[in-house]
Amino acid sequence: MQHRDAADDDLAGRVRSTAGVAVLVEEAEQTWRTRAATPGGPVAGPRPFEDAFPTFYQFSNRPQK
Amino acid sequence: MTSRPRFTGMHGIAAVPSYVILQPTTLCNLDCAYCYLPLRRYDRRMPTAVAVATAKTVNEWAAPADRFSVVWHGGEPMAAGPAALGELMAPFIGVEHHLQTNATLIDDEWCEFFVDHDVHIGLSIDGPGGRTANRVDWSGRAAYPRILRGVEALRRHGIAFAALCVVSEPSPQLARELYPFFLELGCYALGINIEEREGVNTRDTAYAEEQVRGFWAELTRLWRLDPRIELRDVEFAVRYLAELVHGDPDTLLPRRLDPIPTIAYDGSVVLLSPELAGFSDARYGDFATGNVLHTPLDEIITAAARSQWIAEYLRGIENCRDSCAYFGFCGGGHAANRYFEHGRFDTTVTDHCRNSKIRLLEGVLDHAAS
Repeated sequence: MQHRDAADDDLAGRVRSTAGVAVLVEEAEQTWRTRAATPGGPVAGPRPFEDAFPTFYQFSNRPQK
Repeated sequence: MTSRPRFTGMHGIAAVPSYVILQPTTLCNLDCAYCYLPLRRYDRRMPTAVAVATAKTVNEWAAPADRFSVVWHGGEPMAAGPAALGELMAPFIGVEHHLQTNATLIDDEWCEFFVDHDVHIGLSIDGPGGRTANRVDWSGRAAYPRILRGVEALRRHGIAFAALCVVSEPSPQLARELYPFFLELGCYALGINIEEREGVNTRDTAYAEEQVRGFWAELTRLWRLDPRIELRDVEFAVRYLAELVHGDPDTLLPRRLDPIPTIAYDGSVVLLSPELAGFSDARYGDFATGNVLHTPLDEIITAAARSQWIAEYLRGIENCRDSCAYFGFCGGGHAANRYFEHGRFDTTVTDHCRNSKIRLLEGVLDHAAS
């Protein structure tokens, strides 16, 4: 399991050709729709994804302007 | 070389952030083994004048925004006490208050404070007792029982909370211990921070690739089985995969970098990486780019690119864009990771990139392919 060369890697091509990605994405999108539709339901939410962790800037911070 | 898309986000620094971080005190009642904060043994308090000066700008930003967050963090903010924290919050209008805490000081009085001030809570907890050994007080006593008492108080008062978990030894087995624990804990969201070598923490973070990818793959599997928790890292990776599969992956990153102003206890402002607060370097000088007691916060941000280290960091972002297939997902290595791992800001891949971005995405892919 060697780390691929980050400069040469066709990441998009690998993702699109990886079996199982489409199903994983479909399930996740269903989870996100459920969160948005069922406050207090079986999954957390509803909440804009970015607002869950304003402190932790590793992902998804979006400046106002 | 394979032709890669040219990602267009993360160009320069935005004029208005999505949130600000304030440090009400440098003190922390814990002495966690991996902590990066240099002044956590000392109780240096933020005077109200710093909050007032910060709020002058923040209130103008918040007025037209749908949401604007003020995050109390950096040290243990509850160590300031409810009265002092309430005074510091008072000048802010139209904002959401967030508090990142180790939970050990939470009791009924604090819970009433959280409700009264509509404070959003993030807890720092690293898993079950055996996995929280790095979190100890200044006498070396385990913090875990006190963390759980704090969680119990939040539950009594019906206060929702997110959790942040620092992982020091990533492995598939650890994922199998953590996810059920956090489901049981009752947090609505979970962020995983694989330990970073930064600030005063110089511990080795060059973990074995197979273990790190295995950790993320197993976490992804467990999340799919029971997605009650909003699992920050895995879900963001899946979001990126979704854009690659049937969307536009260039839309995921913000157009410009969030300046993420951190206002330290004394009013000094560090941009982009809160972990740089309190540090200086012979080459770059103080990493603070101004002080809200002397200069309005918006002017400090506008002048940011004139700072030597920030100009170098912006070149570093471009180096990442030019050289890394994961840029569209990551947006470029963080300033503090570059500095504390490499001693400068225009380098590219760090241990943090490997552990928390590259191997995250690869681990999720490993799971999908399994």
